[in-house]
Amino acid sequence: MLAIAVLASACPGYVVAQERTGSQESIEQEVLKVEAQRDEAMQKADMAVLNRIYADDIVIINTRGNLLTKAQRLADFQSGDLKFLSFDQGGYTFHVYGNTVILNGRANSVVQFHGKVNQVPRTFTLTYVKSDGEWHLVAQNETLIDQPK
Amino acid sequence: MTTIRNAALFAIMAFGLICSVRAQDTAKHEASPELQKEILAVDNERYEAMKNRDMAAMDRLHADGLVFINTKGRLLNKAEYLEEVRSGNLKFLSVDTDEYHFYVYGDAVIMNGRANSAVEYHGVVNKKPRRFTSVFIKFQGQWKLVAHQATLIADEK
Repeated sequence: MLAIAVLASACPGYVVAQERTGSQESIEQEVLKVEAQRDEAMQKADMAVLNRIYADDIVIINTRGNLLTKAQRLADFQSGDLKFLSFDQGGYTFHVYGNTVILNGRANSVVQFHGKVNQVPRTFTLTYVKSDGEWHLVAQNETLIDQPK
Repeated sequence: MTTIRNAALFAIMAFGLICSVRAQDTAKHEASPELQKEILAVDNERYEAMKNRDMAAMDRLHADGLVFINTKGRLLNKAEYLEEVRSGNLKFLSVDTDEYHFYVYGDAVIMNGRANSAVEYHGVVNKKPRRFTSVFIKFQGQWKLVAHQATLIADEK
């Protein structure tokens, strides 16, 4: 026990590795799977899948700082006002807090929004919550990464 | 004829029930006024701690796994964020926030809002309006900020 305490104080990474339990890893995998489904649904404008993953009262803040509801976001996909011209997203980090998961990442996708093409890289925070056995996206916030001028 | 009328009546009742469950679903995630006050009090404590560079309070009010994304899209962990406050690289010259929305999911609260605060970051003052998402989670009786992201409002310079 003492050896573990000494090792933990000497090497913080050891503690982190120990704290990341198998259950946390499986939660990350579950969320990653849902996120992959969402990514595919966004590219295909698959409204049934998007409707299932987005929580009814999701709040989305897009890269323009606009606040969107679920209905507004789904309408953007359905009408074609929001389209992915290319899809490139990754660099994920997960923080698991019971039934809440904070997923951060970076997107380099080329997006057309109401006729305007945006290819500036952005970072995002997605908050997933598990309810009735399914993961739902309850909050999304995106910010453009300030490029050196 | 009676069968058709009954079927129609059943369909209307079922639709009404679904709509009512949907409405309750949405309403059940809205935080109570008491909880909203509690979260706002914690957020005010955060602003006070930042203003006074009270690092003990900053440490208490932010989760160890904090992910903070600023308006430049830069991702900071707790140590980096606290260091920006401690060093004076991040300073709030004024605090002005409104248009709050609160949603509760178990032990987590999502708070959205709008800020017009004047912030000095590495010597550059930013007064541009922005929207933000803050996620708070209760750990052993203490609400802590676990995630925050802010985005400038493009249509308002």
